[in-house]
Amino acid sequence: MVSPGRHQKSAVAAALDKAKGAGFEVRPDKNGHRWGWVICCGCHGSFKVAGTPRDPDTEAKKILQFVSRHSNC
Amino acid sequence: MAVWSFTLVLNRAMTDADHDTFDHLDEFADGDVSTEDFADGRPTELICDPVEAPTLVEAVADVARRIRLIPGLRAVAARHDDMVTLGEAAQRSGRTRTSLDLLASGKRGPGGFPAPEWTTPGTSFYSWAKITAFLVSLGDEVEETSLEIVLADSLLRVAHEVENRKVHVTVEVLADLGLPVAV
Ligand SMILES: [Zn+2]
Repeated sequence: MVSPGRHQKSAVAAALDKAKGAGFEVRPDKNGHRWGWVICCGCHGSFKVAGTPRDPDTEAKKILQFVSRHSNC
Repeated sequence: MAVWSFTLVLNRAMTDADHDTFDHLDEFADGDVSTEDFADGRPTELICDPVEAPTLVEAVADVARRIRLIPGLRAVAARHDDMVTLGEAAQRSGRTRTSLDLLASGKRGPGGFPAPEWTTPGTSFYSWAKITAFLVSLGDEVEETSLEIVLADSLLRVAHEVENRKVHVTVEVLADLGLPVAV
């Protein structure tokens, strides 16, 4: 069963877990195609996470790229 | 069809209303365009990946067209992110993914492939600038900034300037300038 705060695509959910583990805020905020946000706690920059990405692996990669870009904030 | 990854800079920061429109447009349902907003009010950037198109310039034009569906938003610049996977580095360098894997693992070549900048189990991100320098040292003809992304960036800037100044540029003018357009 998929819990309410968890992304339904497992690759994306895993990337969100890694973002959380790296100290980022993961905020579910469903609206249309949007699932929610990943927010850098250092600079407060935010990345929009898609709810139904056609390519979940790439969505996961983009989340991790955001985390890596903000790893020194 | 080929898929492309690139970053577009918008003309301003997206508002909550812009995001709401974006989130409900079918044109963005696939998730191939993500947004990155900055707390300091800098213009929003679009993280575009994987955009399907025959060429990078066409992929950039496709996203530029789609973002114009949100009133007032324009893509005004294009660039490549420095942080890449080996797959992206392969596409930019013209080498195969296998070739880069072998170079990175030291199973081929002199060794000294740049270490990943950031690693998490299953994914490693490398600096494209460092990979370029390494490949050039092997004799590859590879540019840190690809001609295609420079071209896409220049075209966006021209379109933005033409629109800003309300200049009327006909197809004939573009042809006179030497652009290969159909008149
Ligand atoms: Zn940051």
